[in-house]
Amino acid sequence: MLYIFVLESESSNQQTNQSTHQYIMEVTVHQLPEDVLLEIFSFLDAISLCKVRRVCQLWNRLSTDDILWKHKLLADVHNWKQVSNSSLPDSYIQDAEISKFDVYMRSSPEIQKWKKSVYQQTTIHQLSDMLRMFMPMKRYTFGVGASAMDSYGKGQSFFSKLLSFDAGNVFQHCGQFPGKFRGFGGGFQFKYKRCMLELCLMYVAPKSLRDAMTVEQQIEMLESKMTDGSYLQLLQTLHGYIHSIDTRILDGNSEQQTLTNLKKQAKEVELLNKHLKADTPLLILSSRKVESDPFISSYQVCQCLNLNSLSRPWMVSECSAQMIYRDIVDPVDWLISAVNTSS
Amino acid sequence: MATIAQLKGWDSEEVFNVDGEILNQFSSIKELFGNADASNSEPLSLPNVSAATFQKVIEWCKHHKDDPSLPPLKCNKAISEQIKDVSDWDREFLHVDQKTLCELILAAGYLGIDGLFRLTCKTVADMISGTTSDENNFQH
Repeated sequence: MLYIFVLESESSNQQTNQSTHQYIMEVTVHQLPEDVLLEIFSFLDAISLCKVRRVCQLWNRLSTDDILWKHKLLADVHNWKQVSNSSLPDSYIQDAEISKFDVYMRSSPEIQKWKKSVYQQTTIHQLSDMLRMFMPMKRYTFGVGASAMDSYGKGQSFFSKLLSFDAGNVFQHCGQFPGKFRGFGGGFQFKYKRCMLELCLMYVAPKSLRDAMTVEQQIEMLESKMTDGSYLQLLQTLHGYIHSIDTRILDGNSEQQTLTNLKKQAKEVELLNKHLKADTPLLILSSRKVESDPFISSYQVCQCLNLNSLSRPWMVSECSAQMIYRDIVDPVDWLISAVNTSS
Repeated sequence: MATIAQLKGWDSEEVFNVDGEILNQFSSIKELFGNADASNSEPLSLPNVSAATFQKVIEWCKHHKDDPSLPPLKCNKAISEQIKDVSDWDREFLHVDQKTLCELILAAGYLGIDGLFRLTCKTVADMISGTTSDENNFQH
């Protein structure tokens, strides 16, 4: 496309400027010096840069320039919605063998998605989709105290939002199992893209205790448990149960994610890391209410939680409560493939 | 304002009288001239800029003479966020063929006019991303 465009303007130049100097007649984008081209490339987004690689050898070399991509990485990493163990630039950047261009290609969720959209139609992809139908049911679980959070009034936890029945929902509600797991939690069954998911809620206290408390008391209990450390003990009581699950989803309340929240979560992550099976994937949903709200980027979250030190697969994904149905698809897709590879 | 420098393009004898306000935007050559009135001295020929291009450069500089100086680009922020939207006047001004645009880039780079340089580079970048948006252009 670009080539045609260049040819056209060259021929029009020749018609209008017959008398002028030969050197000037040939000025097109391709005659610009390398530093100017690099300046121009710095204005392009990553996907356009990948596309201009095909134009010619010079452009291929310039568009994979190390400094160019280093700046792109620094600038873009905070805008990425998802950061996972396989896409954390920090883990590659130390390695001098890997060019910054490759680091970007491996890390950027946009590039991954774009590549996937190009490959999507292959038979292998369709085949693996078919095979999923025969996978045994997996158990997915999320936060202690999720029920109490639900009734917070200000916002709902993400999955409870998903649970509310909606015809346009990508998750198909199939059933529920209240009061499973010794009074600490119940759950729901979902169908999602030919997979059966079992989502379990864990509660702040066994049912008998819970019934005697008001919502406010439950919240109070949760908050006191979080501050005095007995929250961690609570997790230990559930140790056996936690050990049996296939994945753990840490979802923030759909209120704003804050640094104080993150510190609490960091403790939880540390503890979970001890009790979960070695290769159980961990999904962290970083939340905000409306998309336009200021937020802590996924990259920052993964640094705060020190996720790089974990040996298990993990992913941080940004979610806005308003657009939950759109934002939840990518993380859940990741979760399903992560669970299937680890088992 | 008094003429401080007399400049001409390499391809013609047409002399451009440049005043201090505009000369100040030519960061790479402004040091060559003092503050004295230079209307009687020999005009200086610019080796890399044609008369037609220089005419356009001066037009741009006149329109932008009151712009605040540009902040240096920060490396940890996306460039698209740091460059404000192109104004209607600029868009109209840069509605030219590719040859003129490339000459403007070279002239702006040579004369050290940061604002014009960034603007023209961004325009070319927009043209590139617009013309290669075909999915099939990507080779595995």
